[in-house]
Amino acid sequence: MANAVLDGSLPDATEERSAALDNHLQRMETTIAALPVHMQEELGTLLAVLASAPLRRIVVGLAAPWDVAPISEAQRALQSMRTSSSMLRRQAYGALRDLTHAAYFVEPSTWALLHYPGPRALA
Amino acid sequence: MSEQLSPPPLRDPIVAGLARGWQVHGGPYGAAPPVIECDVAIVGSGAGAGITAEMLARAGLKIVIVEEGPLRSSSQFKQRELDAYRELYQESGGRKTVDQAMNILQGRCVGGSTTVNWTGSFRTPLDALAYWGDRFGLTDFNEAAMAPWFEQVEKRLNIGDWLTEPNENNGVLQRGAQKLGIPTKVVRRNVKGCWNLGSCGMGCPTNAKQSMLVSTLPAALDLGATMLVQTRATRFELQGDKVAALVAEPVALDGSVTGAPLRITAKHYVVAGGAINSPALLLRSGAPDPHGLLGKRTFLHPTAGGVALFDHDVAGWAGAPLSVFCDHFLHTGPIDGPVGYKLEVAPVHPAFALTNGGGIGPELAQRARDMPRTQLMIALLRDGFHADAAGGAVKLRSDGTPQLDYALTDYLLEGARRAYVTMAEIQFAAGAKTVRPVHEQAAGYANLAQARQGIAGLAMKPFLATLGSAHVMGGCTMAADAGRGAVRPDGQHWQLTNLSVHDGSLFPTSLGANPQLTVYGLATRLTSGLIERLGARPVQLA
Repeated sequence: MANAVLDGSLPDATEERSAALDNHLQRMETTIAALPVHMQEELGTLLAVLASAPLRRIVVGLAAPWDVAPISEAQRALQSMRTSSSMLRRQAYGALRDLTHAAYFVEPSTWALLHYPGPRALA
Repeated sequence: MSEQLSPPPLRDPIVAGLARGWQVHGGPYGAAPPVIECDVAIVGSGAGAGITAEMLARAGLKIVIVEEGPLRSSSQFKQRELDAYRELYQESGGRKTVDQAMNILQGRCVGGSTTVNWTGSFRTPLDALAYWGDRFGLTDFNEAAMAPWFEQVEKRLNIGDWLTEPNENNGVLQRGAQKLGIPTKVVRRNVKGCWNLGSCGMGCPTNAKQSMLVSTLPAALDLGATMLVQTRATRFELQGDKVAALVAEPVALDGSVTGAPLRITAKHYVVAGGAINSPALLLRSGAPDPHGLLGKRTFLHPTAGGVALFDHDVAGWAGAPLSVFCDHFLHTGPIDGPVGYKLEVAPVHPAFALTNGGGIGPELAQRARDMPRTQLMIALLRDGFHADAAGGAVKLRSDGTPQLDYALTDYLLEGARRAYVTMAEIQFAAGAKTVRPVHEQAAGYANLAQARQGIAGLAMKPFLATLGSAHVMGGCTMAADAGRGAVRPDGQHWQLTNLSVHDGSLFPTSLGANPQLTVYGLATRLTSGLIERLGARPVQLA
C-alpha cells in the first residue's frame, strides 16, 4: 500500500526505493507503537479489514492482496475510497493517509524532493 | 580582521530551575509521594493553569500542579515534527472527533497548548462578549470590565504588535486583501526577542515565546509550588457538595498507567486541563450535572484550508507562522446568521502540509515538489452562535479517556464553501498562479472564474472537505444561573463549592479569535476572586 501511496515520492532506483520503503515501514511501526491504546486498537481494526480478502474487496475495492496488486490498481482503489459516497470508506482512506503521509514526510531524507531545507540552525 | 564571535549558548530556564531545586515529580523526576496535601490543587499546566498557579503562589498559597504530559524545554525542542507531535500534543497530534472527520491539535505537555501555539494574542471579540451577556447572563464580562485583566496579562507575557515584516505566507493574505480593499491587521504576539524561526508549533527553541512553560510556571515553582508531570488526574472523590480528594496516576507518554495512584487533598481544586479534558475529568468523577450540560457546547473553530501556488518561493515554513489576520468575514452579517470566519495562514511544514494537502501517488509527489511555492491560507469558522452550530459533546470511552462527538453540519460546511471562494479571491489578487481548496475533489484552478465554478460543484461532506481544529473551547459553560451553565461567573462549579474551572472550557461559544488571551484574561480575573474567597493576600500579575 505504501508503494501505491508514495509512488512518485519514493526514490526511482530499485535499491534506494526498497531501502526507503523499509525505513518508512519501520517509522510507521514506531509511530503506531507510541500511540495511545485506543488509537492502536482502532488502527488494528482498520489494518485487519485491509488484510482480509472479502473486507478488502468491500472497503477498498481491491481484489488482489496488497503485495501483488499492480500499483496502478491499488492507486485506483485508494482514489475511489477517497471520494466515495460511503463515509466509512472515506474515513478509512483518511486514516491511511494520515498514518502514511505523516510517517513519510517527517523523515529528513525525504526533504530533498520538497526542497525543504529543514529547521534553521540556532548557532 | 575581527575575531569570530560565537553567540552565547541558549539558556534553558527549565534545566536551570531544576538545578535550583524545583519540586518536580513524575516521569523521569521520580515517583510523587502517595499522599499530598496542599491549599490548592491545579489540574493542567496550560494557559488557565499557568496563570492560576503563579497568582496563587504569589498569594502565599501552597499549590500542586498536576500535568499528564511530559516536561520538555528549549534544549529538547529540535524544530522537528517527528518529535513534536509525539511528545507535545494530545494523542501524538492525532486526536480526532468521534467520526474522525476532524483532526484536533491540542497541547499535552508542561505549558499545554501555550507551548505549541503560534503566539496569536487577541482580546475576546466584543460581539462574542455581547452574546455571552445576552444569552448566558454574563453581563459583567464586557469590554470595560475585562480590560484591566487583559492589561495585566499582556504586560506579564510581553504581548504586543509584531513589528517585523510578515513572511510571504502571511504577506499573501495582507497583499491580496489590500488589493481587494479588505482590511487586515497585524497579529499581536506573546514573544520577547523572537528569532523569527517559524517553529512555534514544535516548541520554541529560543524561549522567545512567553508560554506558560517559561513564564508563570517557573515563577510558581520558584515560589515553592510542586509540579507533578506525566501524572493524569483520574477523578475527584466527592462528598456531598465538596471535593474530598483528587486521585491521580502516573502515565507514560502513550497514556498507559505506569504506577500506583496517588491522592491529593486540598482546600480548593482548580480544573484547567483544557476543553475536552476538563469536562471529561468531571464526567469521570460523577460530578453533579442536574441540567445535563457537562461536556456539551464544545466548540472547535472548524478550519478550512486553501492552497495557492506562486511563481516564486513562499517558503511557508520560515518566519513567524501567524502575523496577519483578517476579521472582515466575521462581520459581513449578523453573528447568528450564516457562519462567519476569520482568515489566517498556517505554516507549511512537510508532514502537516502534505497530510492535510492530501493526495496519493503522482499527485502527492507533485504537491510535495510544489511545497516551496505553496501558500496555505485558513478560514476559522465561528461556531456556537447558531442552532446548527451548537457544538459537540465530550463523551468517555470504556477506558475513561475522552472523545468529542462533533458533527460537521451543512451550515458549517456551506460556510467552508464560502470561505474557499474568499481565500481564492485573495490568493489570486496576491498573484497566485493556481488555487486549490483543501478538498478531495478540488483541482488546481487557474483563474477566479474557474475556481468559482469548481468550488460551486464540490460535494461538501465530512472527509471530502478537509477540516481540522487547533482551538477547543467550551464544555464547562460559564453562565449566570445553573440552568444555563456548569460554572458560575466567578469560576466556581455551580454544585461543588470547593472546585473551580479556569480554562477555555468555560466559553459559552467559540470566539472567532485564537483563544489563548481570552483564557489568560479570564484566569487572571477568576484567580483574583478565588484568592479573595480563600482569604489570601491580593496579588497583581503585573
